[in-house]
Amino acid sequence: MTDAGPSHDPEYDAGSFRDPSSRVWRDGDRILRGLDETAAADWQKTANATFFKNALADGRIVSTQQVEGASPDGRDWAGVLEHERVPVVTYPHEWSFSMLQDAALLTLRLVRAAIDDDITTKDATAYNVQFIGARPVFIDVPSFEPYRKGEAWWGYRQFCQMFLFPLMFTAYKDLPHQPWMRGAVDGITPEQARRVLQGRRTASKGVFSHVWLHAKADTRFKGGSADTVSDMKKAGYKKEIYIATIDRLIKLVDGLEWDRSESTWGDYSERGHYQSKELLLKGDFVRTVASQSHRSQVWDVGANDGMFSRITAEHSDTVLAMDADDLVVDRLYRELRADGTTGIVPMYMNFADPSPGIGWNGTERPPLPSRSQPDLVLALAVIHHLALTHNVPTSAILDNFVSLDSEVVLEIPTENDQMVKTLLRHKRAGTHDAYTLDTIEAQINDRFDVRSREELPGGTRVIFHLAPRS
Amino acid sequence: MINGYLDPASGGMIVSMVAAGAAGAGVAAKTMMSKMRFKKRAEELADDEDSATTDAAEVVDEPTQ
Repeated sequence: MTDAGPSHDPEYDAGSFRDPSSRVWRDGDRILRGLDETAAADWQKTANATFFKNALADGRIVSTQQVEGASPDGRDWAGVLEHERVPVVTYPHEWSFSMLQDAALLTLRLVRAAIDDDITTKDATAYNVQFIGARPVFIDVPSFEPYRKGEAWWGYRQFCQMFLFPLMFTAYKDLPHQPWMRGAVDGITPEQARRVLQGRRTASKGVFSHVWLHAKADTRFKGGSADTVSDMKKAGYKKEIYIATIDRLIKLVDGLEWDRSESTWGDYSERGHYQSKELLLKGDFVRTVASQSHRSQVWDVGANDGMFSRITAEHSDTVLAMDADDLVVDRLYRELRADGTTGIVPMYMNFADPSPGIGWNGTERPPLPSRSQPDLVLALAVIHHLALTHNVPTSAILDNFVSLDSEVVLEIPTENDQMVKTLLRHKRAGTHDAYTLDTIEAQINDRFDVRSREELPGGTRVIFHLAPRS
Repeated sequence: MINGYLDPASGGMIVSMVAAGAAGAGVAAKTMMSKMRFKKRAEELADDEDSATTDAAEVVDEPTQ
């Protein structure tokens, strides 16, 4: 009989099985984690370490305390931890370049600080980091364990696959990392990175050793690493080498830049087609709806520069500012990080092709609706992109909003709108004849209660506040 | 004793030392030499086994008269 693994533990978090020394589960709003005897002993050492106390105090590690708690399957864990709940769980394939870079630097700097207390990490997956607003937070506390003399950093390969190679793809080749990370839960292998980055062996920092040599060494020394650990000890591996490895990685990752994101917004913002009066009225409409009640979670679909996310954030706990343009998401993140705005989590998300479930059983890293339940959805000037660019029927788009069981602020650019005409310019005549305000409004009335409706001054856009049918 | 739950792979462990710079590269070279010597010994043993097997096969395959 084969071990079916985590499917036998349906009550535990589906993404917490890889490290067998601990499992996560929910108890209402509480996030609890059971530790086996080894992990509990490691926790005691970690909790007393100076680096850990400092990182907890300044929020780099998720707030954690030891509690009493019963596991969902009655297992008698040696220890139970309670973690602060992260408002919305997001994944590396939903982060922008700068978000992945900040998550990488957080991981490395914690590893570097920990070694001064003779503590290391047993892994380095990007899923160990989450974002609270525009601030990365390390959440996998049992990843810390005592450092064993003479051993290298066990997380190195995983760090390369989950952080370094994806960042290099964007920095050196202007390739978005999101499709790669969405395509493989374990990230990019050294051999894949070598093939993509070939020709840059000497031109780009870090490629020779971390990519080319890594791929070659992988092939040459394929097999278990137990002998290698012992060989390294015999050859004179010291903690100084471990520290130098981490220090050099920090310098390398910190120096990676995505050229296009370094420039200012300039003319990039897609607000050019709006008259400023129209934009102000739209802002007022959103503000009126947002201020009617305090919402826990808001989705801003097609958030662009985050103008409406910021308005909504004043009246809600968390706004997920989603956009299908990774550059827009990156610039928004950098702005939020710079001005210290909390409550807005930028997210790369193409609503026409949203993140699927990935990993084991397709549930290890589940799709967004399994992680976030919005109370309000902003879909401002998005419907024409979904309908005309991606050919999604307007009825299907509205059905999707109905399925979220949330209020919706929906802006419809009509068939007479300049942007709609631009999108239709290269489409075969007649393909989108059904895209008319009359048709879409009839579909809306079939599905929602219309709380308010306003025509914007330009005369080609209408904005609605919709509520689920009671 | 190996406590980690990941297999970081031998190659990655050695390369992490190279990435550390001069001191690490020296240890990496020694580790590689050690592994290569081991590998060579293993290959020699395998060769010995192969030739032994071949000899045996030849004996078995010797047409009987």
